[in-house]
Amino acid sequence: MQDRIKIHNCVLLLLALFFFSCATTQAPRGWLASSDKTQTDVYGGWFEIKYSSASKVKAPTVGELIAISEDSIFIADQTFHAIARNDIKSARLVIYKSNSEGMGGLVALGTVSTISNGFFLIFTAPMWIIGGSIAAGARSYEPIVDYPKKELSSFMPFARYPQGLPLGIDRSQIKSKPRAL
Amino acid sequence: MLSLFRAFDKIMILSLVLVLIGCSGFRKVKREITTPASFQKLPETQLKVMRESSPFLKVHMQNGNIYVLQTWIVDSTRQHVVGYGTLFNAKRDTLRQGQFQVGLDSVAIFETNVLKPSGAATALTVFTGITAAITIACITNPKACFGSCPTFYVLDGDSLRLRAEGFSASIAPSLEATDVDALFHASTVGEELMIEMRNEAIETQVVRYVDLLAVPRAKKHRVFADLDGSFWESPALSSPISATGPEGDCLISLLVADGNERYSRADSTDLSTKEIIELEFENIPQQLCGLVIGCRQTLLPTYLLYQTFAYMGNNAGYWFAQIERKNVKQHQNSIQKIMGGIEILIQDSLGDWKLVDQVDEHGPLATDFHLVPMSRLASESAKIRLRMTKGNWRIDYVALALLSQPVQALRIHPHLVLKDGFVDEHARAVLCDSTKALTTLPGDVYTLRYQMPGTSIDYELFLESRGYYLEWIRKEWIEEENPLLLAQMFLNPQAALKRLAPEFKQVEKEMEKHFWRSRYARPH
Repeated sequence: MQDRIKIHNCVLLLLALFFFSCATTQAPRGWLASSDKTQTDVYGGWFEIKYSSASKVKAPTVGELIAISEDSIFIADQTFHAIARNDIKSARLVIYKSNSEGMGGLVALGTVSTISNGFFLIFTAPMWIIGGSIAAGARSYEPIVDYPKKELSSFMPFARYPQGLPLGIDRSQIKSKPRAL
Repeated sequence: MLSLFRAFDKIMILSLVLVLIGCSGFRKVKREITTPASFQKLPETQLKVMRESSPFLKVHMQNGNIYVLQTWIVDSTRQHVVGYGTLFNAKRDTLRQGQFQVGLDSVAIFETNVLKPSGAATALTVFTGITAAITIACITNPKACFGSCPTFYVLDGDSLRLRAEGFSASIAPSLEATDVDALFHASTVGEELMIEMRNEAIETQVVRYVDLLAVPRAKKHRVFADLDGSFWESPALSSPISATGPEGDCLISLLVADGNERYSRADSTDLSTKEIIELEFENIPQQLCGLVIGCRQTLLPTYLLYQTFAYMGNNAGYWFAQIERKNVKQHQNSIQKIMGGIEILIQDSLGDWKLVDQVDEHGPLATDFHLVPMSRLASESAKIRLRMTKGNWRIDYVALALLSQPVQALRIHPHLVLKDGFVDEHARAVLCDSTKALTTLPGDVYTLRYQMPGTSIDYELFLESRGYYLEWIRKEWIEEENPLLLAQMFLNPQAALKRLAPEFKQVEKEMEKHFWRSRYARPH
């Protein structure tokens, strides 16, 4: 009975740790491809920009990362945006769907597996909760790259045009990837 | 019976977790971009590796179109990529599916995506593995669980091979040390050398720097580091004409550094028992020479180290704090000193054996090559003895090196560091500043790239690393806590080595297999 109460409390703690440690993204549901699908996906990653206080634009801009040039970032939602790199305070690129919520479930199951450890529960269960929650939290970050932690140039491979904006392209025709139904 | 049943329950749940992890798509993406010029120069072996690891090739065209090819080759003219797939326009509308021939002169960039197991999923798998290992492997052989310092992998042909391990004896901050390892088989391809640094054990590793030492050498010459860290150029190497150990002739294992090692089993009644290998050389030139030995430890020292940790049990933290405060003095007859290194003895003109020096490089993972200068030998033939603790050493190569001159090494810092495929400028900056340290955790893999100073000069390469590491105490070890036996390890090590001999003999044969199987690694 004591062990069962301990496990119950451990799982509650686990859920709390999980929710606080996972990364967030504004990508619409169904927009992001799975990691496997990135092999054939022909669009850029999901990009979220926050502006510096000196910028005239205040509200964050979000959409598909189209291209990066020396002085600008190009994003598309329903319209095409060209943003000066100097105006960017921070940015987040999400390359694919992390499936971290699924991993949280596995962590809970792993914690349950330690029920039979008896005395050693106090060693093994915390390992699962702490290690497992870090693992689930880490998973939600894996497809995510943040600026200024990483240089903006390191985002280029994940743009729709990693080579840069093609010359002569009609920018008005470029729209964000449609959401999967 | 009940505990067996509970163990079975646990295995079933853990197995379910492993299956779910495998099925749930927890994989991450490593994306690489290649220019047409670089792509054109890739050898066929590398193109084959690319096709196998990244089934789809994305070809970004200069006009914004993109081909996604699921099967492809580069034609014999190397001017076209030919394949089957789908063509999209710049707006990403599908234009056509089928066979295509794409001219490289219209290509802007090639993109490949390799799926790798997620680090987090691997961590979960490993946590599951650790818990399962309690029930299966490590519980029967806790001292065989993998442990090491940072391991370094170098490209050999088209695969990475373990070629060095850093500061193996530095198990505490106060034991931080510098280690120089010969990259005996390494050669640079073009202007850059790539090395992977991995944390493959249940350890925290603290790395101050990892520098490449490049020593210029004349054609067909080799360079070796002596025990003081000086470098010597050698124009010629002579193999022994005979090598005899207690088992008889062992010459064949020592002639070529090919991984075919000479080693022995530990003594069954006293782990400190010594053995001798006698080498004979002929036609020795009358000038300065040195003995070259390529060797590594067996797992016997690892076993003794882990047994000491096990006796510490829950008090391991206390003992390590004592080490840091320098309250645990290096005893004259400590286990480490008793087990010792490989002593080099040479027979003088009176037939007496004189000790020249001792090779004592710690680490069971990678063979390292050492030079023991011997000054001018009195005659054209010489007998040299290697005296060492039985079962403690694996020797891959011995030779007598003619020494021409001491030489200086060029120190090269990594110019690029990647972690999980992403440029990690912070890690590079830390590794180039010896006042700082890079901390790595189990499973971490860093790719270090070094710019060679010039392609026209031949270099002998060495890796210099500095740091220390902290073992994570295994749960199974805590069960063996025993202050009295710990005291014996420190105060009467000779008796401890006799007492532990039968115990070690029970696990010695299988230990190697268990050790490598319990390595903490992301599949590559």
